[in-house]
Amino acid sequence: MKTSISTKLFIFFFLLGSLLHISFALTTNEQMKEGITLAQKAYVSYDKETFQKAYDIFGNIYSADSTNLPALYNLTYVEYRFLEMGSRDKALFDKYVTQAVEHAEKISSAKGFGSEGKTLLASILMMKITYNWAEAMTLSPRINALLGEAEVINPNNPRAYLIHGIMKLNTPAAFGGSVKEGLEKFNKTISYFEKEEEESTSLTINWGYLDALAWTGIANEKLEMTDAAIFVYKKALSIEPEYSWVKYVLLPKLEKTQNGTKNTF
Amino acid sequence: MKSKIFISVLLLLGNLFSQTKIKIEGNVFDEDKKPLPMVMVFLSNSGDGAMSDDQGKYSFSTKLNGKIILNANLIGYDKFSKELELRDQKKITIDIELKESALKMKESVVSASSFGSEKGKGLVLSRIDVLTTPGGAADLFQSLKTMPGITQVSESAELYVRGGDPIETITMIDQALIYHPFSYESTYGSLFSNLKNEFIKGMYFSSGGFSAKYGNVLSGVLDIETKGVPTSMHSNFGISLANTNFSTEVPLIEDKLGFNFNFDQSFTKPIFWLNGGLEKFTAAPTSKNITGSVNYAYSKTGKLKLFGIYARDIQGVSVEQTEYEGTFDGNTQSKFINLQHSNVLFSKLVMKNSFSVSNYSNQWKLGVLDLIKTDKVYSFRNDFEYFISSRSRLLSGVEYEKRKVNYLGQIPNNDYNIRPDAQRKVIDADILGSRIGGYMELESATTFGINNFASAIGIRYDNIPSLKLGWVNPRINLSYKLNDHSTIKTAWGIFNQLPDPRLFSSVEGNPNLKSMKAVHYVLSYDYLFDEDNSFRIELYHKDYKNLPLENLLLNYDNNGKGFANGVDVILKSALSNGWSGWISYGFINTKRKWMDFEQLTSSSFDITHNFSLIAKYFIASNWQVGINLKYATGRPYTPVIGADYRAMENVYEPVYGDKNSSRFQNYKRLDLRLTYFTTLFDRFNSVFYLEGLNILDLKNIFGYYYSPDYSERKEVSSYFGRRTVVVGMSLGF
Repeated sequence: MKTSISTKLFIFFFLLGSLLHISFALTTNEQMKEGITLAQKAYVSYDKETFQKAYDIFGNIYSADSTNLPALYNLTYVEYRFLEMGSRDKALFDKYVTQAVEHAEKISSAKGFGSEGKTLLASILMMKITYNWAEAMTLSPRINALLGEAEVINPNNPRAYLIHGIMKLNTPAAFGGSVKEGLEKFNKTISYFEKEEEESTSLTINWGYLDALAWTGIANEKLEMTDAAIFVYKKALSIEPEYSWVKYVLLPKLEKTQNGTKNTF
Repeated sequence: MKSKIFISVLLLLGNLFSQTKIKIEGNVFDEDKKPLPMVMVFLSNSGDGAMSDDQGKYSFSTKLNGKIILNANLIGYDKFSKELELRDQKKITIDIELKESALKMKESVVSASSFGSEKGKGLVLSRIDVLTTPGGAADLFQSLKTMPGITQVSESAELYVRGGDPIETITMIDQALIYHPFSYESTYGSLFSNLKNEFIKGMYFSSGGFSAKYGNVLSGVLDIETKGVPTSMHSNFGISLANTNFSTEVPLIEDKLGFNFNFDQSFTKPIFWLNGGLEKFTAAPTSKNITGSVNYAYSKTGKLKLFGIYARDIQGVSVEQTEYEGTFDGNTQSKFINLQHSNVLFSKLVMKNSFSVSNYSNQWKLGVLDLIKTDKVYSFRNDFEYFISSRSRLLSGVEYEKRKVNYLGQIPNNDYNIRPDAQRKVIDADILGSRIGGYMELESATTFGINNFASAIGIRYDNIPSLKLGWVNPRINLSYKLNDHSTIKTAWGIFNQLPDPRLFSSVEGNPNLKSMKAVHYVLSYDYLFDEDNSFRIELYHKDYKNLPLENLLLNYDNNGKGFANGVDVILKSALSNGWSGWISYGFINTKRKWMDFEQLTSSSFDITHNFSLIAKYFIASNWQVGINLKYATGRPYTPVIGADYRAMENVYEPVYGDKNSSRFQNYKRLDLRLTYFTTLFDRFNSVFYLEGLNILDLKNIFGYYYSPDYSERKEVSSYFGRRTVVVGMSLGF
């Protein structure tokens, strides 16, 4: 059987197209991984400029292909961190808040991102409360509902428990907050993180483990379980020796308090 | 040289050897050998450790050596610590048994008919519920009235619990009894409470079948805990058409010493000027409230709290009585101070003591009536909680109160004639009494070893030495958790209470009266959808005995009786779409033969149907709208069916029909509240509100007054008998 010239051309261009697509995808994936590495590094040093570099990478990928949901997720994650930094920087907060909510809402309704998307949206709404307490009345029920849904969709999603724990810890007791309940959530978070087998091929950022250790320490401190607080802080540093929040803020403060207490007697 | 090299090699090897990781592993379980997951197991002052898995197994490695402490922490369990000697082992296996923390028992709720302010403990009425209940004026008592078990007898703040008189419900603040927690007391009741919401840390309310720790009470208990050492400095300023308020929380020494302060001044002129009704007042009601507490944590568990309230109010209202048109002047002053001490002894014994003094005086002037009532109470209370095991605790305590009530002034000879020149009696009556009480209660989270079967079995004894009177009250609460969502509870108990002190007057009353008695039976079913959504249905029956009954010879005897049967239902919800609120409904059938009711008759608290709907919704970011819809069957009253002319006094005496044979019209009211939350100048957490009370201008009445010959009657409007608008704001900083 003879193959016509047109069929040959079709096969040639099809193979060429596939090759180009694969190579483009490979490039995109590499870029995404580079962005993830930058974002992780940025969180450890809590550096806005490094976050910005990661943000630009995710932004470029998403602009080129608006169906690239992992890129959208990563982009939204960095926006969440900007809002976190923006709780003391109005300009930064105002710059990112609207699009962060829009992106998070989009990702929360995207197929395959149900639990993670809802958790990220809850995280961003939580930041809105941090910036403006008055929104707590409106947003708290929504955040709790989102986290409830996230936990139902994926009961092993550690980030859902992390955000739930942060909410519990920072809400006044009279309004339903509880340090103990917060700590229970953080313990669950750590437990799920430690059970999780990280996929090196994952194109979405795996965030929250270090946060969970830091928040667990804070909760333990509040419950006057200093030994446990020191342990989790040191554990965080053993995983990431340059984790700035623990290295420069939480652990020194706790050690200073301890030394102060010792000096008193 | 060779030996030096040899030693160096040995040292190097030793050093290398010391860097060898030692594996530490084991299982964590509870006293029943049940594996405990998510337990943090770690070495002190290090980052070496791990969390136990679903099977309770843990495993980690360490390079540390020497004497090291191994710890295990889990909320609700006692901390585990063990010294390890780490040398040249490759692996160490340590199994860890954690004992359930005795204090965890506090989390369990056995009692039926109760609700509190903490999540995870069943039905909740939180501080935010109190603050945002439309029409509730952020007043705990007014907000409580929207809950099941409390009947809408009037618009006053007093709590009418399941057919009981308000004196049958006690209020306790940090263990101390407070008999007059209200302001604006009048013949129609009191409007608000003296306890400011800013001070409330937690509260527990029960409408029946409550614990043996509460004595000399027949129907309900409101037990309030005030705030402790403030954690951060916070102040709040509020102003509305009806009052202004300033409160502050100041920590002086972190986690050790601090104070809370609140000043509240009400001035009702603007609100009556705006909404009408000012002409009714000769002195528009005003009140002043100063509340403060000093808290000192002298150790990790030892705490001292000095809490005090000073409240004063005055009011002058024009009244149109049958034969007298003049003013009702009320003047009330209330002082309350309580010193509370608490500590944990020997890690298993919680001790709480309180000593309080309250001094209340109230003057009413209406025509010939000019009466000053003073009520002084000294009370001491000691409560102990001993944690026998992680699943059971023994509660016990003693209390002593000394109360002196005095009535001084003049009262009309006959109720139907209060004209200033009417015949009068001069009274100067002291009613003195003291009470000693003690109780013991055993609580178990696993009764007879059955999981989910909790019980509280208690007994109390009260004694009134001056009356040579004593009574024993056994009480039982049982609860069975059917699954994670459903719990069934039942309660039975005997409750005694002395009647109103004025009935012990040697002239007007009977100093030998006995205590009133009630037997409660409660059956309840709770369904908890999640921590924000819950449902409860409850059936109850109360038998009253020994109620005071008028007696021609003795003034009063104890031959009265009565009953109350009913059902209470509530659905409380907070939905993710911004809706929150609750619907409560109560049905009651209650009759009493007491006071001047010679036959078993519908009592004045027999409000057959009680319905409340509280709904709040965020219409936009920061904007919340709320409604409070109330419906209640009209209160029974005794109608006037004629009048006899008394020539001697030149006045008509009303002839009454059958006791409580008529009812006022049904009570209906809709309150609306619009709230805006915002932050001003990036600093002030601000709340602005606009509230419409009785927004539909529905007519509700307190009672009737009559023409001099009782041939015509007119309605007396309730407090909120006309539409009333209030605007206000508060700034937190």
